[in-house]
Order: sequence, then C-alpha cells, then structure tokens
Amino acid sequence: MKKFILGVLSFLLILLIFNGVVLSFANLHYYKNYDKKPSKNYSSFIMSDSHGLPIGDFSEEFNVYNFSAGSDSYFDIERKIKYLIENDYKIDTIYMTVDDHALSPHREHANNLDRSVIYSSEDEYDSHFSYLREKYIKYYLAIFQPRVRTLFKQYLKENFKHIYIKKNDNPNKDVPWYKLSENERIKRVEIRKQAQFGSEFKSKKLEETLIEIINLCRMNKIELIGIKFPIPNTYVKILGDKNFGADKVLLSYGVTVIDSKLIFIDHNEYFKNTDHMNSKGGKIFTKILLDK
Amino acid sequence: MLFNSIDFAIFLPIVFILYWFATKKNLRVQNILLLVSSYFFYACWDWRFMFLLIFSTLLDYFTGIKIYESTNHRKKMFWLWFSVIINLGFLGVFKYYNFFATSVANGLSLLGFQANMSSLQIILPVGISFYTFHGLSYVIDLYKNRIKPERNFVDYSVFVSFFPLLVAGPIERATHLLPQIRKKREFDYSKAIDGLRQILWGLFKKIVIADNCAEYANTIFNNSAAYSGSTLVLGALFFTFQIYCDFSGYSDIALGTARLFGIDLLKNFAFPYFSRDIAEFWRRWHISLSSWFKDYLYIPLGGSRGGMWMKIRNTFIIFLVSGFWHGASWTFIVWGFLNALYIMPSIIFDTHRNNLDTVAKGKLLPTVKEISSIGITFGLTVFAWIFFRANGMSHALSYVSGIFSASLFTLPKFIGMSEALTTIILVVIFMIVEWIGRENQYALEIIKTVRSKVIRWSFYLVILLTVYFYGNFGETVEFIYFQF
Repeated sequence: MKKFILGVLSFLLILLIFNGVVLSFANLHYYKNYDKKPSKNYSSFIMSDSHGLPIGDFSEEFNVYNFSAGSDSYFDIERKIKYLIENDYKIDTIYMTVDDHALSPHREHANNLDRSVIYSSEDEYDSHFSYLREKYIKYYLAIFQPRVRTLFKQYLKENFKHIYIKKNDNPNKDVPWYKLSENERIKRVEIRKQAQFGSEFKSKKLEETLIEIINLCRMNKIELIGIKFPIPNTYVKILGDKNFGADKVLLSYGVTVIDSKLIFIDHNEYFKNTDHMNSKGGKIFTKILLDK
Repeated sequence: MLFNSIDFAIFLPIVFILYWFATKKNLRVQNILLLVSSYFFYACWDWRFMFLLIFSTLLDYFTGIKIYESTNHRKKMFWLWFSVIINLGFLGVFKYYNFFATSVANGLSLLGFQANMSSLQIILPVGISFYTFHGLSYVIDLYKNRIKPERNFVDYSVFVSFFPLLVAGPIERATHLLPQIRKKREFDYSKAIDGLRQILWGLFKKIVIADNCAEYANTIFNNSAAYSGSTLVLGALFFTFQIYCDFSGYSDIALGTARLFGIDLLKNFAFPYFSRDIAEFWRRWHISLSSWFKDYLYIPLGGSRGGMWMKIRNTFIIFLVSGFWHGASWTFIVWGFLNALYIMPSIIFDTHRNNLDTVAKGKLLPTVKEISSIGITFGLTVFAWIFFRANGMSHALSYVSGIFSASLFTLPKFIGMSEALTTIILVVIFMIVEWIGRENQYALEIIKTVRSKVIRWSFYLVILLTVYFYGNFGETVEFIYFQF
C-alpha cells in the first residue's frame, strides 16, 4: 500500500505542477482584470461584450462605470447585475448591449460563465457542493477549464510557430481598418458574420435570460437602456437585415433602446476591425451616449 | 456523476481512502461502504429513481430465497416468473411503453382504425436495463440450481448496485461477482496499479477519441442530406470509433475502478474491430451482454441442439432481442437483424468457431487473408452502425442511399474537416496501439512489459498530455450506453 500511495502521490505531484503552470497562465491571460469590481460611488453601469471595451474608462467622466468584458453574454450580465444588487450598490441606470448578434447561439456557447462565476451567489446552484465546485474547485483545478485549455494551447502554438514560420506571413495583419482595401474588409466581415450568424435560430436560453434581466431591473427600480453599438459601413452592408432581435425584446417590454449602429457609417477611422470601435471611436461614442 | 467529471475525480479517492483506511479492512464495513457510496453515486443522477433500484434489489433478494426454499417445482417456477414478470414489467413500462403505444396506433391506422394510444412523458431511469439483467441472471441461476441464495442483504445489494457497473455494466453474474463480495479483500499493489492504468486508457478512449469523433459524427449525421457519399462514409466511420471508444472506454474505467477495490469485473471488450468474421466480432463486443443472451435466452430456447432451423431461428431471436434491448426503436431492431444476417453463413456452414484465437497471435503483422477478412467484417459492422446511429428508419435509408451515389468517389468535405484531420490522426495512432496490445486484457496493459520506469511514466505523461491538449472538453458528453 505504501508503494502505491507513493506512486499515486508522485503522479499527483506532476499533475499539480502542471496545474500550477496552467493556473498561472490563466491568471495572467484569462482571469486578469475580469474580477475588477466597481467602486460603490458609481450608480450607472455599461454592460456589454467586447463591443463595450473601446469605451474604456472614458465613461467615468460621466460617472458611469464600464463593466463590459470581451465575450460577456446575458448570462454573465445577469450575474453582474445580481452581484451589484446583493452587494447594496445604488443602481440608477444600466446601459446594456442589444446588438444584432447578442442573442446568437455563438454567444450562448462563447460566454464567460467560467469567469463571471466570481459574481455568482450560492442561490444560483442546486447544492452547496455545486457552488463550491463551480466557484472554487474549477478555478483552482485550471486543467479542467476548457476555455483555459484552448487559450493555453493557442498560446503554445503561437509561440512555437515563431520557430518555424517567418514573421509577417500576413502583410495585412497590422494594417489599420481604415487603410485596408474594401476587398480585404469584405473578406474579414464575411468570416465574422459566419461566426456570429452561422445559425438561423436565436438562442432561447439567452432570450429567457434577457427577459429575466428586464424583470430584475424592474423589480429593483433600475432604469435599463439598450444600446446598439456603432459598426462600420462594410459590416452594415454585408449584415443586411440579420438580427437575432435582442433590441426588439427590450422594445416589446417598453424599454428604451438607443440605436447607434449607423452613427459612424462614414468613419472607418473610428474602427479597429470588422465590428469593434477603436479607442478614438470609443471616446467620441461615449460622449454622444452619455453627454446629455 | 460521470466517470469523466470533476465530481467523480473527487468521489473516487474519498471512497478509496475510506475503504482501505477507515474500515480497518473489515469486510462487513467495506461492503456497507460500497453500498452507501453506490447509492450516493446513483442518487447523483436522479434520487427519485432510487426506489426502483431498491425495489428491484428487494424483489430479487426475496424471490431468490423463495425459489431456493420452495420444495416443489411448481412453486419454484411461480417465484421465478413472479420475479421475471415484475422485472421485465418495469423495464417494459419505463423503456418500451411509448414504442408499443405508437407502433400499435400506427399499425391500426394502416388497417383503417383510429386508435388513440396516448404516449407518456416517461424518463428512462439510468442503468435500468443493466441492473434488471443482473437481478434476472441471479434468480435464473438460482432456479437452475447453479448457485445458492445470498442471505446477506448488504452483500446482495452490492452485487446489484456496485457503482462502477451500476449504470452501464458490464452485466455481471452472481457466480462471478458474489463470491468476490463475500470474500475478504486484501490490497493488491499490482492489481491497483493495473486499475489506474486501465482508467487512464479508458479516459483517453472516451475524451480523446469518442468525444472528438462524436462531434464530427453528429455534424454529418444531423445534416446528412447536405453531404456527399464519401462524407457520409466518413460520418459512419466517426460513429464507428465513437461508439467503440465510448463504451469500451466506459468499461475500462469501470473495470479499473473495481480493481482499486480488489474486485475483478467481467471483461466487456476484446478488440472487436480486429475480428475476422461476425461471430468473432460478437465474441469480442459487449461480451457480458452477448454471453448473457447466450446463457439465458439462446440455450433455454434450445440453442443449437434442434438442428439447423432451430439454430437459425434462435440466432435471429437473440439478435432481434439484443437490438430491442438497446432501445425502443425500429433502427435498433434492424441493426440486430442485419447482424443476424451477417452471422448466418457461419452458422449454416458451421464456421462460427473458426477464429477463436487472437488474430496474428505472436506476430507483428497479419497475413493478406487476415487483413481482407478484418476489412470485410469491419465494413459490415460500419454499415450496421448507420442504422444504430440514425434518428429513424427513413433517416437511415436516406443516409444509405446518399452513400451509394456518384459523390461516393469525391473527396469528403464538411464544416470542420480541417480540425477533423487531427482526430483522424489520433484514431490511427489509437488503432496502432490497440493492435500492438491486442493480446492483453486492454491495449495499454502492454506497457507493463516495459522494464524502464522512466519510459513507462513518460508514456503515461504523453497520454495525459494528449488527453489535456486533444481531449474534447467542449461539453461533457454522456456515455452512449447510459441511455440503454
């Protein structure tokens, strides 16, 4: 038995060391900044996926905290709102994304549930063990986190790639959006569209959560405002009338929606890529949105 | 609680430590612990169905004693049928009610009658087909005077619900498992190490091969109308490896886990895709079920004693019942029928016991004749799996007709084809390892023969890293056989 225990412990030690490496990687490249919690001085918040990131901290000038994070879905946004309520934040207004892709099945799968778990409370789980498993065990046992695994693999691939692939293999890689040819822009938008609108059907689960968010805000007397972020001309043209309809859900519940989709239609210089503003665009947009 | 989940990774070491350290190796305490942990394991799925498991255990425990104590044959027979009818009754209601209701309604409507057979929303209790068959084998063996009844209720309950085999087998026999439960168990180092190795191999099969193949098999099967014949063949191949690695991976984890507790379970798979004919395939695929049907259905029906027609009839019966056991759908019945057809030539020409030994035993490579017979058997199996996987009979038929089209000779193409190449390479490597280790209980067992500890450990680490980097962690996929 002693020999067996020693063998198992050695094996576990190797696993533990590997887990430590993966956890350090995850903290540096994945969890970093996600757990940054707002100060209680704020009473208004912007909640969005990566489309809200260009706003950066420009909104703080208007006393609005930007609580957005890349890949945040309505599941994650609901957790954040509940967290603010449970922790006695005084919330007046929430500006929330209702972009055309917000209810896409792609967003249902590519979400931040493994990160936003830090905002969840025990009530969300069916048992104390599930709560512990989701919130703590999965975090510390980083080798069991599928998203971390994917990022870690990608990171290693990218680093090994430099050994056998010459740099600048894609000449357009670092060219700003506004300097790209229209053909190149169209090519990139098509790929993006395929990822976000690959399915014909919207996500039922996300729609249910969106309705829960609307009701949660009503119950807690929070003003909810939907935002459609600006997108460049090429994306508008290729997207056509594709929309999973998050904005329509809000409108049907009598919630205000600010549609800014077309405000920068002739300003490619305000965009970083296919459908995200750059910092310059973010700054101007913040002013338009919040400077009442 | 799935074998490939964090919950099981926590559950297993806790039970292991309690079993060997907290029980002071007292057999009674160890068995009570196994029973409690098995019930906990089952309750993690759905505690509401615990009553069925406990009821089935109680039923067979008491009828077993009644059969043994009955002095005349009629009474013995009564108690046997009492148990069989109730056991199969539960199985029938939970698993087959809707199938019969809709089939009868469809049949009557074909004859011009309008039948209003209401279908029920019945949840299939996980493992019901497996623990029902455990209980049945016990009462039938008692009736046949092969065993004596187990008077200790805890021991009997462990036999029915031992957690490694509870939800997807192997289907154990009282003659094999009960004596092990009754006997004092000592910790055996080599057995335990072997158990861990088999668990590792099972995890590799499930997470790396089965779950990756599942993704592509689902993509192709769920949109089969959109794909070329060659892509449909590829889809069928993906499913062929998915089902093998899913189920045999589960069995490896079950057998390995049981070994950690000093218990040997029946072997369930023996490299079936290297079979040279269908009879050999069925001696190597889901062995515990095949032998169950042979012992409790084929032989009681007369087996091969009544001449050729009797043999043919009985063979068809066991394959059709085996198909039906897998699920209440015509696709499973057709799958069983196809296998019966495949095996017929060897039954008629009495060649079904030609290939009893491992293929190319003691050699590195098979002969050309062996390669061609393995290829033909494999091809037939792949064809039958199409019916097993299809969503219904019309889907299966359209899938098959899609294969036999001009597009069969084009290059396969589907969304995700480039990612699938990695999976194809992994399957090829896996099959090479399976071939090298085919004379062992499971392929990775061959590593035992490597004397250098460094090489052995390096091999384990390579497998672990492959599981980590190439395993499918998208969403934990349930084992296919849980639905049966």
